[in-house]
Amino acid sequence: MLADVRNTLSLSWSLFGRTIGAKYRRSFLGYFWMVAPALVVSAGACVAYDSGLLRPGDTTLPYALFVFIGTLLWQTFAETATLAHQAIEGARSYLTRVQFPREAIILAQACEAFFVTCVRVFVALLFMALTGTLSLSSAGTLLFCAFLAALLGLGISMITMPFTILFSDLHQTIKLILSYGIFLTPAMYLPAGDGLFALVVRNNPISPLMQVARDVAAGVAISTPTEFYVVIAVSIFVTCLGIALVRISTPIIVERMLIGGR
Amino acid sequence: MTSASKPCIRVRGVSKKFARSLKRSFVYGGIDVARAVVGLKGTDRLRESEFWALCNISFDLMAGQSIGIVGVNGSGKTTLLRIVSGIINPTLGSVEVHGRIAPMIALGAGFKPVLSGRENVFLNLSILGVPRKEIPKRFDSILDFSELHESIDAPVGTYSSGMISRLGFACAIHTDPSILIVDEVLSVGDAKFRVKCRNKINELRRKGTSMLLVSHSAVLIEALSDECLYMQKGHVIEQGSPVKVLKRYEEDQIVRASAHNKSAFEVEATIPCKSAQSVRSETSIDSVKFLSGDIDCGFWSCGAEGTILCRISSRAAMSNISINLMIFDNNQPGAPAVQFMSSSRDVGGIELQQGVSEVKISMPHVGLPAGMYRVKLSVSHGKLHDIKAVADGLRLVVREQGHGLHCSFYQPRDWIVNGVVRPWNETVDESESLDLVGDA
Repeated sequence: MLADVRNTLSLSWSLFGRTIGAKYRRSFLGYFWMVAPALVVSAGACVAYDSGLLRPGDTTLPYALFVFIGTLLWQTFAETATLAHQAIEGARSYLTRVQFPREAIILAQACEAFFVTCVRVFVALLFMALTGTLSLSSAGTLLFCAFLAALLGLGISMITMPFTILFSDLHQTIKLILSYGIFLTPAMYLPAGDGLFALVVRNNPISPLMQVARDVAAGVAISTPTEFYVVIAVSIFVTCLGIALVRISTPIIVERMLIGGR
Repeated sequence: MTSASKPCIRVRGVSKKFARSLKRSFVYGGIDVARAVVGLKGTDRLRESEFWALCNISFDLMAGQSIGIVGVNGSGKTTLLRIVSGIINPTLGSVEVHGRIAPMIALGAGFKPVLSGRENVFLNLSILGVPRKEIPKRFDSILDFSELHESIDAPVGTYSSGMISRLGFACAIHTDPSILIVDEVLSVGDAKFRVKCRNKINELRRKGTSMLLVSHSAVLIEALSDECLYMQKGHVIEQGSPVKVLKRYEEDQIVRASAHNKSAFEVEATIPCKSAQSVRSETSIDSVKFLSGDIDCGFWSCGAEGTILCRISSRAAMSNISINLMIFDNNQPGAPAVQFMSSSRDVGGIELQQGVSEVKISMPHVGLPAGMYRVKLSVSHGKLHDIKAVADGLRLVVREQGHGLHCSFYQPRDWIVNGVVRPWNETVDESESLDLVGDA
């Protein structure tokens, strides 16, 4: 068991090292693409805000920073929520021909996601420094919230992976939800009133992470501590559950990849 | 080869079921995942559209031993190898493996095209379970074996398929395997590479590496195996010495090839397809038979006389006709023909009378080595060889009679022993020498 874990960790580290360097090899802008989507969405939201189209409510932070923290956390969650599916699909040629610790593929992809998250957080910290909100606690909290968003996404992706590989309808549905899901979070605006939309935005699992990161950056008391602790517990639970499910389901999934060509 | 007491692979009662329907297989996959989560194992009950791809397979591969597996496509050979390699789990039964397996199921298939050959070697060896510290020590040897010194730092996407196979094979054998699992990879790449692979496998075998080998080549199985399994529709129908098992396999192949050739012409005759009708408007090939000498046995024997007897129908008398014969190795799809012969080149244009004509192509010595071949026969007209009729996909079995063993082709030969040309301590007239003539 211990040797199994050691092999998995060693292999995932090798895979991570080899693939991260190759990821942007065909791109001239390279690592810029790690932060480009969050920057573009934030810039768009800022333009809408300046022109009065977007009324985000009473944000305690400068709006540019407010929206960048929100989009950063959402993007981290959305990307990791399909991570296991992408990892398994991308390693089809290995999986169907060699027996090896298959969890290593997901772990390597997770390492890559955490690396990208760190780069994004670094850019956010530059924003915070420019707006005078950077402190050790705000930086640490943002990094921790980003890590939790990635962990929650990873756990969900591992639980859904066996079924998204088997049923592409499910995969397409999840992709659709994640494409527009940012509008159901307080990434660009704060929920107002008690309507259904506000209820969904408030109870979104990413909402407490955004709220806590912004509260600490603004230097005010955390407004949603209970929800934050619940998200921590849920993230750890779904990740453990996901690991178990991946171990159990991978041979069945690989078998279907062979016969179905999917 | 050697046989020891300890099995390195123990297969017991292995069965595997698959679903024929693609959508159902995914639904069953979802159900199987749910069952596995709650700890339920596979059952022997077949659900709708399921079938047994493997049924109750048991064997032991002893340390240092080599087992060859033969069978037609779809008999379950590759599924068995995948289960033994641990890629998929059996529905029923168990597989115990003691030792490191080097699976040679598709060489270099997992290489990432954007990475260089060097990076892919490191990645591939990591996946195959070689410790990270060990990889640099083995790298030079891999490079020497694959002979890719000049292109090792180029992206693998720029490699030819032969180069990828070389690198994949080199990686697989440098994992210190105690068990080799070889699935037809000895028939890929160029001749030089195949020889190199074969010699390397022999070297590993001499060091005591066990081997599970799948091949369509009876000659290869016989040369490299200590024991042989003959699989048919998921069952092992014969197990034992390669000579005994391969004899039965060959006999079954002949029966199948004859039935296939017969049914091919029956289908042609009963299904009026548009393209066939247009081709057959003037001329058609009605039947093709493979004779050994004059005996209608449906196969040829290497080194013996072989005959093709075909019947060609023609609505009108035609001149300047050519009958063309192409023979392909059935185990190497896409490879060029191993034999091409044309009547126009050999004897000039042929005249066909109205009605059914019989054409006999006679070969005093069959040069093809033992194996299964695909035969394409065509009738063409004129200098530009306008195709008038084609019979493709015919199967020909060539049996081994001892003359072509370990040869790429049979070379007809005469052995002449010139007796005693000079008695001991005595000078004689050389013109009186005795000729002993032997014919192979």
